[in-house]
Amino acid sequence: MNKLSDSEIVDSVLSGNEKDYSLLVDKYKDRAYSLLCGIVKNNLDAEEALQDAFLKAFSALNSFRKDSKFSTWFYKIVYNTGLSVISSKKRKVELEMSSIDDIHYLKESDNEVYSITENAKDYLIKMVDRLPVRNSLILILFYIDGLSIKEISEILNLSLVNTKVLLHRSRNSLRDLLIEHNYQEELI
Amino acid sequence: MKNNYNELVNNYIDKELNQNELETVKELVQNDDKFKTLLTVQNYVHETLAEIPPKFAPAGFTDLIMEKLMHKISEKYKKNYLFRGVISALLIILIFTLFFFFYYLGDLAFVKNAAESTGNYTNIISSVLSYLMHVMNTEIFRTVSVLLGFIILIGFYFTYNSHKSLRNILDKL
Repeated sequence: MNKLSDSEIVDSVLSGNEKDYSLLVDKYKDRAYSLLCGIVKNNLDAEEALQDAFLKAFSALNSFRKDSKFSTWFYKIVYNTGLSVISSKKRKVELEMSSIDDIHYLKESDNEVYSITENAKDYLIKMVDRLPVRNSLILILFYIDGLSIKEISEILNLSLVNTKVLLHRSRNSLRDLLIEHNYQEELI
Repeated sequence: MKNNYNELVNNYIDKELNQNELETVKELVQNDDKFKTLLTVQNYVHETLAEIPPKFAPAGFTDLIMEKLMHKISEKYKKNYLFRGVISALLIILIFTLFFFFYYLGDLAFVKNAAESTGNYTNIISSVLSYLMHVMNTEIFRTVSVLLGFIILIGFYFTYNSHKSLRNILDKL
């Protein structure tokens, strides 16, 4: 298959070749799924939200104005869909989302995670999942989805400075979790 | 102190330190175990996160979405076809009404009278115009016109919305 840009695929879908939408689904499904798992912290809810996000994006494709990248526009939909899932389940997301000064505490069970996880990456992923939503979200967007600070700021509706501060604090939180688990002994 | 360390470590990771700050980092790494730990673990977090691949969406996800979309699209087209059918029928009725009106125009008594009185049909145009003015002034004609106009406008709106290509062309104008 020739490599079409996102914009070209969108044009093709809008001109009536709806089946070309599968190219966008293929391209973004995994990254969007990772993001949703980070938001809703549950694979089943994430899968449902992922379907919703792609269906919403298709319906709203006409409103994509190309003044931003398709990925940014789409991630906004994914992000908002994830938040809707959380709010519909009446989780206490406001507490987690209200500030970039989120503080989290180690749970007793966190200590068990390392002992039962052999792979260091898996361990780190589990630790990311234990961070407050917004902290884990920004780490996923920046590292796993490979988005820039500017793109993330647009998705999260934050200023560039606040986005950067949030990224730093999230990274610090994760680091502190590892240190509290004496993980540095493995590294130094 | 920790905040300063955090800022320094993060800026080091993001490669945003100037030469003086880099020297400070080197010095701290050699002389401060706490800073060294922070930097090492932070660097590990940074590098490891960058290597983590995204989670895989469930198998067959693309097919599932496309199936749902195609179903949605076909439902939408069914509705559109029904609406287009109704609008087309109304337009055909309108066209036939106008056709019969003009076809039998010559048989109308006042047109005949006008033609007979002048011996030719030169005054027919003015007669037709005055007849039209007469018809247009009636309550029924105005009501019917408004209703037809309303239906046609709604028809255009739905046709505009259901034709993606037409909408795109109009949006680009």
